[in-house]
Amino acid sequence: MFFGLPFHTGLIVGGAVALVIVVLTLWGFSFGEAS
Amino acid sequence: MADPITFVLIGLYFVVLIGIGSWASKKIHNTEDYILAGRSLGFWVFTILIICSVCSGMTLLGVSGFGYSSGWPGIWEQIFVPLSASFCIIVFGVKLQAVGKERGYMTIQDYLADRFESPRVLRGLSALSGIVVSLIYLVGQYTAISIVLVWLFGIPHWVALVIAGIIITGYTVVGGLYAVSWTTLVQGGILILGVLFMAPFVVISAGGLSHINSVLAGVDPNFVEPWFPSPAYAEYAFATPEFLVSFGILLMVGLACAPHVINNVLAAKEARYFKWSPVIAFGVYAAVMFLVKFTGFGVRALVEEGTLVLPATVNAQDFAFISGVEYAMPNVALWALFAVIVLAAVMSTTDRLMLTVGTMFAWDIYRNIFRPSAPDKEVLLVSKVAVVIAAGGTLWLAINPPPMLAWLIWMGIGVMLATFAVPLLAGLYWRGATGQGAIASMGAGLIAATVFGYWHQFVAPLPVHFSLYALAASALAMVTVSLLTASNSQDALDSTRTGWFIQS
Repeated sequence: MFFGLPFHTGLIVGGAVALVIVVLTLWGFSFGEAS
Repeated sequence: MADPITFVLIGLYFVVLIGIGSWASKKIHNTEDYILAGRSLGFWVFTILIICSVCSGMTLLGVSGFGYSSGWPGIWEQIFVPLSASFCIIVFGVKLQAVGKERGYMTIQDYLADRFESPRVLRGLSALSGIVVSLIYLVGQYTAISIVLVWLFGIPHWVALVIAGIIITGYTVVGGLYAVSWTTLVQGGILILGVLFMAPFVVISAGGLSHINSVLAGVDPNFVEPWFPSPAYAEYAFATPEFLVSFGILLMVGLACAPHVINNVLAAKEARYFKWSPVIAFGVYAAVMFLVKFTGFGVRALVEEGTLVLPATVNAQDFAFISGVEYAMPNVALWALFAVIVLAAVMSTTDRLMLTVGTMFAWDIYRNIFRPSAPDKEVLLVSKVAVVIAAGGTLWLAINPPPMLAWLIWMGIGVMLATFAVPLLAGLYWRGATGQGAIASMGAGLIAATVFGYWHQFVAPLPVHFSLYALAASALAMVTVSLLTASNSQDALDSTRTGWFIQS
């Protein structure tokens, strides 16, 4: 259980948010400031 | 309902907005200053402007309402909508800001006209559809503002509209994007800090998130699932996997290419802001929206347990946020602050929409189609007059809102996706996309959005959001017509940095 949610719901929603943050952070690191 | 503290706080808030407008008016020397704040927006002003252009007052009330009626399957809205800000910055912003600065674009229509070598037809078509969609949206915003003011002060609907209209129009007309962006920084700050502060009170007063979720599961076990099973078994259970895919595309891409959102990228001072603004915009916006959604869940739990009763209206769920805060925070000062938060959310979108309408009319239609020789001062004046007319017309419509307003607003977002997304994406990333292809794509998208939107509403519900069909029609028209027509000149493609890359 995850705050009273079924484990899979917590995992899917939490995983989606984490994935978006990781992808956007990777974008930040790969961004070339010179252009 | 209003007490002296509420009056003073809202009065003070309005004085601050007018003060910013007055300060901003001294910085306006030409049309570029007015439309793009002289391309001078700093990191935080730009990032908050993008967030608040996407986040409207209806979003605030609608998000908790959707949480109230549909539970966790609707949570994807809180990922897709914040993602639209990041999508706009990365996919559109990086290239458009760089090319816009080099080639002096004032609007996205400047880009479309330049890239597709269609200075009149494509510019005119896109400006007209942008104006119509923005006006529909604007009527919705004014209606939301009047709901808040009527509920706060118990004043007549039209008085509320006139007060709000005069203040917003005043600072937008005198201060242009300088005023809009700096008032938005203030309004965005109030919105973000206010929700971060208040939403936890509602969740705690409803027994905490774990308790709320157990109550939701008791109402319908699918309320705590990540989506509803397909096909939809009830009116509230429309967030099925296939619907969520179309909903995600609509919100993420459709909102990103809305004229009042995408034009902000041209006003950013430096390209390096695009490095971290996507993740910061997403993080801040998602945190706020998750909390607002949780208040919707909390209010549903309170109602199910018989602790709270929502107003007996057809759209009772839209009062979830208001009722939840009223229940959790009896303190008058906090209550007044809450009123300012809702107003801030609505007004920060309204001013940006008005400026966008004025800009598209004055710059794209008046200056670039009808009077190319018009001096800068004349364009600036027309822009201000257009803002006043847009405000007056939409205020008048908001006094007697069209009966199908909610449907019209959803149509508006669908039309934005169907008409702007493909020409912009294909224009930026596909060298084979042609001007005729862009015109065909806009036309096909517009027609398909109207047909499928009408079909879904009045004939038979469609399994996915109607705009997805229109987007497919728009893409098909772009590819087919582009392959059949001659490419744009290499010079136009090179100077607009067209190609399969984000950063060259």
